[in-house]
Amino acid sequence: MSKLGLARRKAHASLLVSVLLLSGLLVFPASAASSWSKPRPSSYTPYYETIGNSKSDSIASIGMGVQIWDYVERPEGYLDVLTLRISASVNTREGIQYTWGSLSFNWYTVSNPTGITGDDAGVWLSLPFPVLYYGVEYTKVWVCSNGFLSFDWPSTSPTPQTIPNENKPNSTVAPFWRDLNPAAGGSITYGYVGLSRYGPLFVISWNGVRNKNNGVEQTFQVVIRSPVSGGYGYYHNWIIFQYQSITKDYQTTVGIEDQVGDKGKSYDYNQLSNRTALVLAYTDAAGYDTVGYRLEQLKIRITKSDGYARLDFQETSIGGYNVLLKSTDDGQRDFYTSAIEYAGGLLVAALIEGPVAGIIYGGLLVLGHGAAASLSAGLSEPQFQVDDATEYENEANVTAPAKTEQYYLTGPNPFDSTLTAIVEWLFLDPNNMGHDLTITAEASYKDLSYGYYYTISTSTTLNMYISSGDGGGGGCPYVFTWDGSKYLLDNNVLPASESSDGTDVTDFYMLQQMLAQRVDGTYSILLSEFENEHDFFDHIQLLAVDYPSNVNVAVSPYGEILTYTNPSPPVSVIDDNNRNVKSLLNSIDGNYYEGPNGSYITLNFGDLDVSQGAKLIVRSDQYEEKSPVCVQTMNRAGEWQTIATIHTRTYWSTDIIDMSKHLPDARGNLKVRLYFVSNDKIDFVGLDTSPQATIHIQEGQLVSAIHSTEGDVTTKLLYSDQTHAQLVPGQEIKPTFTLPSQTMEARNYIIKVEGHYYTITT
Amino acid sequence: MKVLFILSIIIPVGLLTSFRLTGILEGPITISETITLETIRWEFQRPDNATATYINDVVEASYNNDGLTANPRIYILYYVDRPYGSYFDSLRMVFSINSTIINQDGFIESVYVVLNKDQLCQIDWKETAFHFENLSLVERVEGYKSSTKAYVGLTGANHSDSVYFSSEISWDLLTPNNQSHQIRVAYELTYYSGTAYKKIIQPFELVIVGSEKK
Repeated sequence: MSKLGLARRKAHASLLVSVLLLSGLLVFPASAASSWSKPRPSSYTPYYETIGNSKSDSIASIGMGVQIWDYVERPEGYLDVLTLRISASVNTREGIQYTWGSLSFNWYTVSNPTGITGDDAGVWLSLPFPVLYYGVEYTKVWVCSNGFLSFDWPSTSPTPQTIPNENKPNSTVAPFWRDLNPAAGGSITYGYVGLSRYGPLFVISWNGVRNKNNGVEQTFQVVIRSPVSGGYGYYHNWIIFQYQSITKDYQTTVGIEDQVGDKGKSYDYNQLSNRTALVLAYTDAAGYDTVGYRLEQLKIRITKSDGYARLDFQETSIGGYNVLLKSTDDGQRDFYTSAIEYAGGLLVAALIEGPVAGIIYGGLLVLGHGAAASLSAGLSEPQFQVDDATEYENEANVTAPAKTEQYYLTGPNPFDSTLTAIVEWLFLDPNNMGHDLTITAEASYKDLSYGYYYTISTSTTLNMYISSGDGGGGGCPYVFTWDGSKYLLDNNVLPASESSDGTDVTDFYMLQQMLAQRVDGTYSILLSEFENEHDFFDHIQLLAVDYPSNVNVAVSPYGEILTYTNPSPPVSVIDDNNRNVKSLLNSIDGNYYEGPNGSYITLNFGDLDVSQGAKLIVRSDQYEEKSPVCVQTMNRAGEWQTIATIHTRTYWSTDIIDMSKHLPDARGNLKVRLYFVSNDKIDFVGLDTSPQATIHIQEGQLVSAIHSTEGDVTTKLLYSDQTHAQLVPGQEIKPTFTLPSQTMEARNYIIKVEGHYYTITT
Repeated sequence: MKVLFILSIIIPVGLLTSFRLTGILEGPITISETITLETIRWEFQRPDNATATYINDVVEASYNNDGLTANPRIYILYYVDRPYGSYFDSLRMVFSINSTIINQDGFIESVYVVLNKDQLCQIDWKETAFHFENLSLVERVEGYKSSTKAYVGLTGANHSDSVYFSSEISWDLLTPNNQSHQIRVAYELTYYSGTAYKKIIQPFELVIVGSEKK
C-alpha cells in the first residue's frame, strides 16, 4: 500500500524478531480484543466499546484503538450506519534517548515509610506529578526492596539483570539493583521535595538497607524531577541517582531500561563512589538531520469486504498532533485534547486488561490529560488527504504527513504522532447481509543515517453478522464471557463436531475475551445458539491457569496446557506453488496466509535448539467451511504424517502443539507442514523452545447453569454422563462457576466443553 | 505578412467572442435582481434520552415566479443523543433542491447552500451521499468547530433548465444537552430568466433548544 520502499534492516534482524514477538504478546493472549463482532441490530443500538491492537519493530511502535459508537437503523431509503472513532498513535522509540550526566551531590532526606520491611518485597507508590518515561506517561511506580523501580512490572527480583534486557521486569529505573534485605535493617522511605534547585522532586531513599549476604549497609536514593512548565511545555523528566554510602562487593545493575527492554542506559557500578550523583536526561536523537529516525506519515486505512457498504470519513472530526497543519487557527484545540488523550487512553485500555497487574505498553506513546492539553495547545485545522469508499471501492483512508509540533525541547524531526478520525460504515443491504471491515494503522519512517524508509502497521477487524438464517457462516454454538457489565462474544466451541457424525467431542478453548469476577464472586459465561444448529452439551468445565508473568500459556487441541515465551517464526514458509509466504506468518498482525482446500505450506525453523522444548504456536481462523488444519512432520520414509489436528474457529484463536517427540524429524530437520482440508487462515506460526514453566491449574466449580427456556440445567452439565443440555436457535445457557484465588502472577481461563451439534435442515 | 498580422488579431478575438456567445467561456455575470424570501423556522427540543430519536420532519419552501420553480427542502431524519465528553450528539438531515425554469433561453446558473453556525458545533457534509443532476460541484467547505460557515457550491451544467441537488449532513453538537444551537441555512439559486440573471435566496432557521435536564 505504501509507496515508500521497504529497505535494508541493518543489524536489527535478531532483535526485530524478538521484539515483534514480544509486541505480539502485549495483546496476545491477553484478553484485550483486537476484533469485534456483533449481530446486525434491527434498531438503534449504542455500543460504546473499544478494541485495539499494537505492534513494535526494533525501531518503532504503533498502536490503534477503535471506539465503536452506535448503530442507527435508519428509515427506508437511507443507509443504516455504524459510527466508529479510530485513533492511531506511533512513535519511533529509537528517537527517545537518555544520556548520563553528573550533578553535585545533594542528599534529600525523605521520611515517609514505603512500608517495605521484608526481603524481596515491593510496593506501588503514586507519583506526585506525571512522569514521562521513554515516551509513556506514568502516575505510579513500583518500588522494590532490591534497589530498583519499575513503572510497569511489580517485580521483586533480587537478581540484577543487564541493561537492556527483554526479560521482565522492564521499564526499570535501577539506582542500585542488588540483593538487599530491609528485614535485616535499614529503611526505604519516600517523599516530595517542593523546593530544590531543580524544582519539585520525588525522592525514594534506601537508608542503610543491608546486603542480604554480608549485612553491609547501603544508602542511596533515586530522584525524579518534576516536569518543567512553561516554554515548550512537557518533556521527559530527569532521573537522578545519588549515592551516600555504598559498597562494591556484589554484582549490581545501575541504569534505566525502556518498556520492552530493548534499549536503556547502564552505568558500571564499579565506577560509582560515595557522595556522588548521576543524572539521566532525555535527549532527542531524532533532533539531528543525519541521525535517528524520522516519522514520515501516519495513515488510517480501512478496507471493507463487500460492495454493499460505504465508508465515509467525517472530515470535521479528523485530528492529530505531529501531523501536518495548515494554519495557526486553534479552534479545534478542545477536540485535539480529547483526541490525543483518547488515543493514549485507548492504548492503555487495549493493553491493560491482561493478566498482569501492571500496565504493558510496549513503548507506545500513552498520554494523560495534562500532557494531552499541553500537546494540543496551538494546534490547528488539519490538512489531510481523505478518501472515502463508495460501494464500488474497497478502501477508504486518511493520510497525514508527520511534522513536529513545538512541544519537545529540541528536534525538528517528529518521533511520535497521533491521528484520529471518525468514520461511518454505511450498509446498503436491507439487514440481510453480514459485513467485515479491517482497519489498519500504518506509519512510515525514515532512517536518517542511511535514507531508507520503513513501514509499520497494526490492524483490527470488525464484523456485523446476520444473527439468524443462512447469512452468517461461521460455526455455532458460541461462548460469551461476562466482562463486568455485559457478555462479550468470544468464539465458537465444539468445532470438531462438524465431522464427528453426531458423537460428542471434547473441546479445549482458552478464552480470549475478558472474564471478570461478578459481585457475588462467581464467574459467568454464556453459551448461545443464534445460527441454525441444534447443540448438545454434556459436560462443561472452567479451568483457571495461573502462571508466572514471564511466560504465556496456551492449550492444545488435546487439553495439554503448555507454556511458551518467545516463539521463533520460521526461517522460510514455502507453499505448494513454491512461493515463500513467510512474511504473512511471522507476526501476529492480521496479515495472514490463506490456505485453500488441499493446499499446504512447509515451514522450516532452521537450526533452533530444541533440547529443552519444541512447541508449535499456531494462530488460525476459518472461512465458512469448518474443517481442520493438519499438522504434519516427515517420517523416515520421507512421507508427511499428521501428528495433530487443529480445528479452526470463527474468530482468531491460538493452539499450541507439543512437538518435542516429533522434532527434529527423522531427517534431523525442524520442518513442519500444515495441510489444509478446507479454506483456513493462518496469521502466525512459531516454534517455542523454552522449557515448560511451573503453572497451577485449578478447576472451577459449576454452581449453576440457567437455560433461557428450560431453567436450571446444572445437573446435566456437571458430569460426563451423556445427559445433555440442549440449545436450539435463539436459546442460551449461562453457566456460572466459583474459582479458587489466583496463586501466581498471571491467570488465564480455559473452558472444556464436551458435546456435539448438527445443522438443522428444513 | 500583413494578412498574417490581421488574422492573428481577428482569429483570437473571433474565437473569444464566439466562446462567450456559446457559453464555452463564461464571463462575470451581472445579477439584475436578488429576491430574499421569508425565513422558514424549525425548532426542536433537544432530547436527553441516550438513544436515537426519529423525527422525520420535512421543512420546505416553494417558489414559483418568473418561469422559475424551486423547491428547497430539509429532511430532518433523526437525532442521536450520546454521552457528553467522549462523544457528541448529532442531528442528521438531508438538504435538497429541485428547480426548473420554463422560459425560452432560461437556465440555472448556480446553486449554493450556505450554513451559518456557532463555534460549538460542526457541520459535516456526507460526501458519499451527494447527488446532483445537471450540476457540477465546485466548492465544498466543511463546518469545522472553529469556523462559522459551511457551504457547497454547484454550477449549472450545459445551461440546463432543470437541476437537482441533495446531500446528507451531520450537525454535531459539542455541548451538554442543556445547550441550545441554531444554524441559518440559505439556498441561493442564480438563474438566467431569458433576459437577465437573477437570484433568489431562501433562508431557513433551524433551532435546537437545550433540554432542561442537566
